[in-house]
Amino acid sequence: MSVSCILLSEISGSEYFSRKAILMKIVFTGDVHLRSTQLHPERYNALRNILSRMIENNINHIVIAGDLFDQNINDPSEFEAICRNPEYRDIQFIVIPGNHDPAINNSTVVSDNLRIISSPELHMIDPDGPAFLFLPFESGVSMGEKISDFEEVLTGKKWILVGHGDYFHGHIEINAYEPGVYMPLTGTDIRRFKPSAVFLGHIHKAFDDPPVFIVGSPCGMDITEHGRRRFLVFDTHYGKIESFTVDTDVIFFEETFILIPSDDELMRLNKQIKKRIQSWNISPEEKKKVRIRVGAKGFSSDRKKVLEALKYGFDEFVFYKDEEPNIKNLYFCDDEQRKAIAEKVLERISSVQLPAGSVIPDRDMLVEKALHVIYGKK
Amino acid sequence: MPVRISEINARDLGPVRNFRMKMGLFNLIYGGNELGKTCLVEFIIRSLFKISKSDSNEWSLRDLRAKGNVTVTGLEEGEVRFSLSSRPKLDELWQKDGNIPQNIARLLIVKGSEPDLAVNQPGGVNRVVLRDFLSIEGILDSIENNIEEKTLLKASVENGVIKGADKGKLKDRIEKETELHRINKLFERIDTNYSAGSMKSLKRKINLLKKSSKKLTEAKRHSAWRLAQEIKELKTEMEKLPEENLQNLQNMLVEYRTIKNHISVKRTQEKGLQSSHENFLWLKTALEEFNLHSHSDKLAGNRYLAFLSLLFFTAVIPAALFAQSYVTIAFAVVGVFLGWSFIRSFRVESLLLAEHEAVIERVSSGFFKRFGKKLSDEVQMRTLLELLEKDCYRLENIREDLAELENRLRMKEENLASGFTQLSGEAIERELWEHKLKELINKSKILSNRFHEAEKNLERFAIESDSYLEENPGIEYDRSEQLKILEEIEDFTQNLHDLDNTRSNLKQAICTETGSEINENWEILIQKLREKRLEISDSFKNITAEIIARILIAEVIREVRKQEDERIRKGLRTNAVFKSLIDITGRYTELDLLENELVVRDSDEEFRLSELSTGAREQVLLALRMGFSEQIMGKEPAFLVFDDAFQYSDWKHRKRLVEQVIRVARNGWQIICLTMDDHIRDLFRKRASSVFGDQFRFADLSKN
Repeated sequence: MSVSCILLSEISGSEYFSRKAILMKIVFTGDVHLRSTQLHPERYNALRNILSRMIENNINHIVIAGDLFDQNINDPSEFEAICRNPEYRDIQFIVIPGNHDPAINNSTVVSDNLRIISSPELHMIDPDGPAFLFLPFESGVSMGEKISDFEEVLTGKKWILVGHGDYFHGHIEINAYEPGVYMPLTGTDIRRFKPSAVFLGHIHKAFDDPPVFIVGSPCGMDITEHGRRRFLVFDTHYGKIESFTVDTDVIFFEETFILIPSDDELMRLNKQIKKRIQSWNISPEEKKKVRIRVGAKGFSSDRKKVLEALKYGFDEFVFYKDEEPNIKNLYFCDDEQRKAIAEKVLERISSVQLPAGSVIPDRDMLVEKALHVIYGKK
Repeated sequence: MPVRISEINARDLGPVRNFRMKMGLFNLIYGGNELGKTCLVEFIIRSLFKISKSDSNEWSLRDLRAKGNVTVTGLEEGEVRFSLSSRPKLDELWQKDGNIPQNIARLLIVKGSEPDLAVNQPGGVNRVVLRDFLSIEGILDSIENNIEEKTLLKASVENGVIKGADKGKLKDRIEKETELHRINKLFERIDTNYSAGSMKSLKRKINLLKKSSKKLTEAKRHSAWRLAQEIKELKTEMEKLPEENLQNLQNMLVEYRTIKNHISVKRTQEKGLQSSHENFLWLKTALEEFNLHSHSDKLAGNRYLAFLSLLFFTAVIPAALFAQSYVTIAFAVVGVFLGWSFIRSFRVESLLLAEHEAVIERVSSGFFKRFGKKLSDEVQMRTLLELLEKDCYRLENIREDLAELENRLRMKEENLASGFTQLSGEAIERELWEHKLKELINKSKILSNRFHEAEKNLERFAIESDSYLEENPGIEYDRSEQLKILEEIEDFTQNLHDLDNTRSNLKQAICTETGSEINENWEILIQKLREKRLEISDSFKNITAEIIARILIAEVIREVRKQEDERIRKGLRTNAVFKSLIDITGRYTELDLLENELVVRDSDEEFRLSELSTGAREQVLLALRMGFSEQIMGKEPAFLVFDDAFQYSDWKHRKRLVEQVIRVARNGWQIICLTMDDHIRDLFRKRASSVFGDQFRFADLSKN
């Protein structure tokens, strides 16, 4: 089940934690965005799945790095019921408010095994482990500002940051679920305050840039949040971080195909469909969980057959919101001579060396552009 | 949808006054000479196609003045009416799609029994015409046209590097790249400078340092207070030891010492002169004695007495002799007396003399003793006495001086005793005056030094007296520590200022980049910048993709153009052309290009087109025309206009030609045949009307 394994000791030295420390594992997740079970049962089920896995593996601490709730919900009883569920009674929940639920606190959501940290706090979960600095979301400030309040205490110590906000480093994608900038952490903050590891909530797409680990949402919110979701397990003894897949109710995928008119265009399309489905690497049991959005663009000599091929190719899966495959940008063309030219051009596209750099078009984009020139579509 | 002429409506067209014909799939227009058949064909040509001057010459077209229009259906634009003056023409609309050769009119219309596709060319067709119709030159041109920029036609992608002139899209790409680079740099700056963590950290450090500095300032104020207190105490102490008094005391003591010295000197002098005085007194007495005793031999009186006695005694004789007795007695008495006196005096004198001598001896001895020299005479004594007398005067003076000095000394002592008592607060033994004075001066100096030192220190603090702090802040003031702290505060403040400036500059740069107001908050600005980066990077990717795609397409076009002849040959062997050729000629099965001329082959032989009979050539050209038309228009057929097209074919071939045309019409091509030939009219009329029913239309210009 483990899909990746990152040893913190590789990042911050072999003497990361004391070898005498008691073995303790902590689960990290965030951005569960709970609403009601009626509206989004899959989000509760994703959380339950993580908790059950914790019980199985004898882990009894979970940290939720913000946005546990989609809004400052008035009725947290469903979540409280999970906390109070006898099955999960031994699990200690540590929650920090996120930008979606900034007002939650220990008075609004109550359970004996739940602690909501609503102001910055340095906390020892494992007495022999590193210190944890919890930074709940706060509007209009950067994480660096908040960390600096603890600078004297943290200097020279092994400590872990748990926060909810953006991460400015390199070219992180804009969070499609909620554009904007929220309590950002910068590379400079990392270099300055030297946390051993950072677990960040807010960005839904999981991303690892050691020592920063963006935990990602445990359940896709909508079709824009593709693929399997994960949760992280942090071993305070060895400083090891492991990623586990959440067994979610739904798995979203979006697939777009670029077509060029040819005698075997449908055969090629079918092959591509199979290849894409294989690349999802899903088990037969998971098939029913998949929600897909499919589209085709480019040029075809038979748009209708393409549409049918897409429907047929993905007929094992549920189309997101019953949407039909999108062929709006698929144009009709059966010009043999242009087709011959197109094929030659595509050959060249497949072998051309693309410019270096991080912002380069992929070959599909080149194909699309070339087809538009060849077939004269703007 | 097939492109068809749905209606021809012409008025005042030469001999044709008013011609109106709703067109079907197969249309036959019959008219003898001078009835306006050619005018009608030219009206169709000029209404539907763009005719250049050279086209006009090649086709021998006349200037037409007519009203009316040709209505065409099946175009993307819907039903379009074309007139002599309307624009765009049909070929212009088609060429927008790029597949249609410019001279399509020559393919679709056979005018005035001229089946040639190229005028004045052997065989009526040449390589150029074939290229126009058979090659994909038009498509290539069209695609090349879609590339839009000549720069890209010459550009290349080599090892991932796009090379080309800095124009158009290439220039745009570089601009986008620069813009993207600029935005990425801004993000790097955001990563480095945005976080207020460093600033807050600095601020906190500055605050801590300021607190320390404040504490040290309090310590300084307290130290100043302590110094001020010390100064006050020192001042009080110093006031007890006025410098003037000390100076006076010192002066007095100096004077005292001087007087004492003087007295001592005087005493010594006195002592020295004391012997002189004694000597003087002795000498004076000795001199008197000496005088007294040294002149005893000079007791002449005695000798006078003797003399007188003698005299008197002598006189007694005479007197006794001559005078009375009494006189002699008197003389004798006197003489006796004188003699007695003399004797007595003599005796006395002798005694005195001895005494004198003893005195003189004693004086001489004393003299020698006292003065170490032998007394010679009185003069010596007097001289010496005079000298000694001077000493005595001096001694007297000294004694007077001593008396005065001792008086002064007493007064000084009194003053000094009083002065010491006053300064030290206790009576000081005379012997201790020097020591005490030294002690007091030393004490005064120490006090003064301490006072000045304290004053200097206080002055160094540069603190107004009203800022002195009595309360002890608990730490000692350390100037170097405070200076170090102040330096650190200055450094940190400068750092903070720099960071703040850097942040402000960064914000300004983001505002400039995003066109935002400086008072926008950071989150909004960064989001805008992110959106802009996304937009620019998409745009950059897009333009890069467009450029590379276009460059690769241009490369392919160049390559395809090189294979032109092969393509023409392929075009001549396409199904459409082959079928048309075999159907129309009934003999030839293959067409090929030999140098610049077309050749036909049957199963045995090969013929240049120019070598064929007019009829055979006409059939081949018609087959080519129909095959090309089908090939060019593809699955969307159009129309073909035949103006006396089969006129030179023999009767046997005419039937075949008619069948071929009907076959073409069956494939969806609209046929418009204009003929003056009764045989051809009848052949078409008979076959077409039976095949196409109401889609066969016939017009007789003679009945117009």
